[in-house]
Amino acid sequence: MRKAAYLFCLLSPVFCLLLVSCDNQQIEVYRILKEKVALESGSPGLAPPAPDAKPAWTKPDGWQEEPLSEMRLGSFKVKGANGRSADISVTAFPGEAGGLASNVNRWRGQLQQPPLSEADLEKTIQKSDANGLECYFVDLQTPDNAANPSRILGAVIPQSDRTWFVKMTGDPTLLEEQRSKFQDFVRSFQFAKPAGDLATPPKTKSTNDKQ
Amino acid sequence: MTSNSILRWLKPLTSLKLTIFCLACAMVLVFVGTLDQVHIGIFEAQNRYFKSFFLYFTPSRTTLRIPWFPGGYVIGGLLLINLIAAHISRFKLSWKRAGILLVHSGLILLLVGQLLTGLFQIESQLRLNQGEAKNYSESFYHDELALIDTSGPDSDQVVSIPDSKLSPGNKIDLPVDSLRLVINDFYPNSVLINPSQLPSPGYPHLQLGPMAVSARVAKTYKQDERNMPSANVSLLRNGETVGTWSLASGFPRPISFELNGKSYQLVLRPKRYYKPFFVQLLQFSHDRYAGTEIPKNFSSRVRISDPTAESGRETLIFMNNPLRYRGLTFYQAGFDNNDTTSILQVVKNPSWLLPYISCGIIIFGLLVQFSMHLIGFMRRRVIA
Repeated sequence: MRKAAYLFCLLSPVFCLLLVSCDNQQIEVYRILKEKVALESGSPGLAPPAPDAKPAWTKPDGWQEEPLSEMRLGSFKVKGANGRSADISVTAFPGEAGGLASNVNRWRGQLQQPPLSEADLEKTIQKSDANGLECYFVDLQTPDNAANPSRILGAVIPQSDRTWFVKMTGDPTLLEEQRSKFQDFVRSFQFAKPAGDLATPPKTKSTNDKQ
Repeated sequence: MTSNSILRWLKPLTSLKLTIFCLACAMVLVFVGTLDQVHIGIFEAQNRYFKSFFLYFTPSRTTLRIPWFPGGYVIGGLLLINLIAAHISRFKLSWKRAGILLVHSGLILLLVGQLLTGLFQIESQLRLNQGEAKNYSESFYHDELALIDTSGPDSDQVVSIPDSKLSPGNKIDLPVDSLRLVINDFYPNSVLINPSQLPSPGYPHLQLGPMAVSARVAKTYKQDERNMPSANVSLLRNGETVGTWSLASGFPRPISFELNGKSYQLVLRPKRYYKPFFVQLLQFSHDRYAGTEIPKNFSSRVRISDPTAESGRETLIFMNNPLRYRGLTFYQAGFDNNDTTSILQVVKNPSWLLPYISCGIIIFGLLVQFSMHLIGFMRRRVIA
């Protein structure tokens, strides 16, 4: 009995050492309920996740809703004559998302247009304050000799915690026809007033921070 | 083997000199580890100094790893063996020694508890916007490459490959649909930039899209920064390539594709830990002392919705008042987005009670030991 106790006492640290040598980072296979199903099967008190300060908007007639993705908070498609189509996306990124100039230059790059300085960009950006909503419109197009002509109608809406981008991409003539609908859509955005002190900079903070 | 021969064999392990040596090594380890924590952060310091067998030295221009000092596992393991061996060889079970035995048993339990904590404790973060509900938390330190079969009507099958397996050149056979994953390239940390921002065209980068690349940067060890790995992977089925993609944890947009009539998504993201219940943030409060910006209190009112429970449970989490639910502890850890996002630290530690139990045993043992001495002393005085 005593011998067995000796062995147990000596082998247990060895077992512990073997345990720590094991690779506990293994490939795992598991099933999860789809988010919608999981939320519905939760307790009756659980409401579906509130939209992340998502604004209310009015979808123009003729725009077809498309499935959302992790990036797209709104997604639409509009079809024109002769198989022409345009894609509309609504996205949002924290803070200034790189600033207005860099984002417009990013869109210019997508249309094979060279970047412009901030002073030159200002001339191409149209500011709007309709319905108390500050937003910036741009209308960009591929160079005249481009093989695949394309156009972007873009809108940037800065908010206190994040910047919203509405972008319509597609056939230049179809976008010209849809221009007023696009602008009406952007101006229909209504944001809920965020809680908290707006003067506080949007930065992750630890509760251990002094201030 | 007789008991005597075992005792002879055990003798060097029972030495008090070994105890002193281990305690001295532990002091050096704690001192050096604490100093280095300034440079490499608490997580890396814990892994390098305390959750390791040895500290290693790598001579310049080599990949050799030369052990130069015992790590936490070796020192802790030797102390444990030393303590147990001393018990076996020196102590005999008797009432007179009950106190000492209890104290030492408490110490052994404390050491074992710390080992189990190191092995099985999982820390993650639950980031919730006001009104949002989630049934998973995310690791702050680890990432995963997740292959998700989204074909099922009600549920998705997830194959999670830990970041430790994502070494360039690694070939991983996945336990689903005879798929094989080949890691072409892997950056432990990267930044998302425009291709025009690359220092040179040859700078190590992965093309994520026409206007976005993921450029390799040095790993960060700062407390408030996270490493954002990127990878270029190929998926093969029966030797044929299904696709090759570049993925970045800092841009966790899933890649969707169809294979064999099934819909799949592939994403590199912070490692997720799913729970059998939902946590919904009802309100986050950041109270300040009147007229100042000095924080007075942080609190999150949350609702737990568990399909196995009859009704949802509402509770308030605030500093030093965590929520304990189904083996998990939720602490208030941070906030974001102008006080509309709350960050909760989620800790799963199956052995969280062991330190309390071992301290209780040690205190009880000390009381027994001192009481017995006191009673003996008083008896001798009465006789005298």
